Amino acid sequence: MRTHFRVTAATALVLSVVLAGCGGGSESDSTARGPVTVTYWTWDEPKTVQPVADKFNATHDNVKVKVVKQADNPGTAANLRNVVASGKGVPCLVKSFGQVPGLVGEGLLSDVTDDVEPYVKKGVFNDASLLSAQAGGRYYSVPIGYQPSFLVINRKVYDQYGIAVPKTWDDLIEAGKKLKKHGIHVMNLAGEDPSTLENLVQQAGGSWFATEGDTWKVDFLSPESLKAADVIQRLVDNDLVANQTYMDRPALINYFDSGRMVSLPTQVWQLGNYELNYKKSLGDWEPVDLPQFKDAPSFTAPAHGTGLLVPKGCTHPKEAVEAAVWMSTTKEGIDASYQDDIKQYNWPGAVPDPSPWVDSAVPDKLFGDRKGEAKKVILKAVEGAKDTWLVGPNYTGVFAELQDQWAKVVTKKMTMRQALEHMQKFTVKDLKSKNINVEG
Amino acid sequence: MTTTIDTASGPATPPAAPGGKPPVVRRRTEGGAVRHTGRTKVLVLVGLALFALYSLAPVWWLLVAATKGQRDLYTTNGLWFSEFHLWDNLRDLFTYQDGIFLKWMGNTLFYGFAGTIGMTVICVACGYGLAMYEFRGRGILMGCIIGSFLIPGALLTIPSFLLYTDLRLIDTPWAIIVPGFFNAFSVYLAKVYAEGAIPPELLEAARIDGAGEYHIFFQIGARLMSTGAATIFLLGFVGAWNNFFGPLVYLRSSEKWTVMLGLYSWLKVKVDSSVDLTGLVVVGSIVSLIPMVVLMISMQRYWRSGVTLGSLK
Repeated sequence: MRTHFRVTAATALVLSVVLAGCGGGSESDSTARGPVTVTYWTWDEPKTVQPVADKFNATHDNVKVKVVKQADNPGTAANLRNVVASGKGVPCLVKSFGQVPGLVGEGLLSDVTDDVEPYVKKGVFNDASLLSAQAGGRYYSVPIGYQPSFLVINRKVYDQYGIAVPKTWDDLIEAGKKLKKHGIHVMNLAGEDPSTLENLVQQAGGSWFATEGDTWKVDFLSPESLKAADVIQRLVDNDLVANQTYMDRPALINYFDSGRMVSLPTQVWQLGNYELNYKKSLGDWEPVDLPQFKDAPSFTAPAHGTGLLVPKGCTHPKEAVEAAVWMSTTKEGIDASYQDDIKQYNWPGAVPDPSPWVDSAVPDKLFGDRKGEAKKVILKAVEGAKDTWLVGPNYTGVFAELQDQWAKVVTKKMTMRQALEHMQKFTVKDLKSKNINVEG
Repeated sequence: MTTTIDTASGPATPPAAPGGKPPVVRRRTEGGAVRHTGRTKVLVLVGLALFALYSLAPVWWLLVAATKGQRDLYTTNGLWFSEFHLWDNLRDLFTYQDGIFLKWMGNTLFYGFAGTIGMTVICVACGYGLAMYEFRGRGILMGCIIGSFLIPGALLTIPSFLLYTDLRLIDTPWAIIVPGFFNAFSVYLAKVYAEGAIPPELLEAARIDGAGEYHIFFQIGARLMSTGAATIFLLGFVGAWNNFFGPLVYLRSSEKWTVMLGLYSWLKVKVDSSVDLTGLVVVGSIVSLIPMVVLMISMQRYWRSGVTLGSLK
């Protein structure tokens, strides 16, 4: 028995020495003078981020950016929650894994309004990129902007059946009815992804949340929301859409490539993937403007973007903002993101005029000889970009609930209106249960 | 693990005295063998064939997919070859981001060996102590060890994270290696094995000859337990190789990642960016299997004993 204890004690001693030994070192230089290090967490591949950080470091003496690769979106979220709880080693910039108001509600972010506003006044950002970086009118992240939205259609199939390119959602539905006779779906609505609905509401100029003083107003049944719901309902009722999931990538790519689904609302970053993976339909596609509502006063494309988060506990928020702004809005920063293998820049979603970088965003083969049309379409989407989309502090939970409802809608188990009515009740009740002032 | 015992002592077997058991078993097997030869054989063969197909089909898919280029991967039949790109894929794998895949393999081997060797030494000593010494609280201690099987690891994430932060282990290899030293199940295996492999009389004799307790453990106990230790090492190493959660939570910089975490991040990157590394993930999965296969084949004697170890007691 004595021996046993002695062994235990010896082991404990050895371990504690080992642990203490490897604990020291490295992190103590934060108070020393010299360049401030801004740690930047992202799950993007280093080859798309590191060159920009390197360029920043080469041109700045007082601030250095250190990119730390994260495994994926949920992993980043879990790590950030852990590190904010422990208060040690908090990064200063994090790729956004949610909506800013919800993350502020969780107590994860720092208010950096005073650091961001001077840049806003200088006009380095486009207007549509600002709202998504804020919560309650204050900045908790640095705007990095949005991806322009447009439609790509399989023009070969459209032409084969003599169908005109849709200009409005009504046109699209009419086209769908004609295509249905040939066993072709006009669009795809994945059961797990209600973003088509969100985008339509945005396009109609609506939002499900609004604030008035310290009260949230929730309205899933606004005229804009119902207008969007109507488009979805008609697509579903007439059996015009496929329900191919995004989770099974090979099946999805195969299906899109097969010519049995012919219009795809999309964004710039997706084009490279289509180019890389399509086989049969390469060259058949055409980029066209996103269909509009019939009575739309002006051309509108949804543009809800995102920001680079500045977490609570970041020791150098000012420098973090400086670095983030430089990386996503300066010509030098954007140029540094050029990828030799895919011949693309990271899409500069926050700058007022992205035209110098548009050409590289368009792949060579996907659109065949219609490649030239892409630039006009993308720039029109940038010009028509309006962000009216405000999300509530409980949007993470609301979105999960919406996903469930959405799945029932696209499989015809309930109507879009019923789903929205449910969402209205759910959201109000959820906010109340969190002791947040709410009207609706 | 218990199927052998179940079939041998099915409902027909009376809970008889030890002497009555063997004849009963023999009679049942003989009768069954005579009457059902044809049908049973077919059923067993069909069942086995289905199981083999079930377990081998994914491996076949992996082998086939590793030879395909990115575009063929999504658009051709998954179970048959198209254009042969294996060498290109391997070259891409080993050169991507300055060969970070090799770094991950090296890390995984290092964490695996360091953690598992430490774990084997600690757990064998622990099991030996529990099996060979009488001391107050032994039962409670054993109860705690078995009880700790019931606590899911995920429950301990946040406490462990805060603890490692205080110890400044976060983002160092030690955050993976040190927790790997302690494994309740291995202690249990070691105890069971020690009880079976070391006759107490031998220790008694050694003590009479004047050997100290450390001497007895290293010279006699540990040597008699070498087979059990190898089993524990093997099981532990497989666990360490596939360890995913620890590196995900405790390691920050991708240069320190393990191969499983690295492959996972490659698989995920396509969700919201234009980079699609699925091809690399497929060929990387095959390469990452090689050390496991080598280890399994070279140590299969222990592996087999490991599966049944503990099932007898």
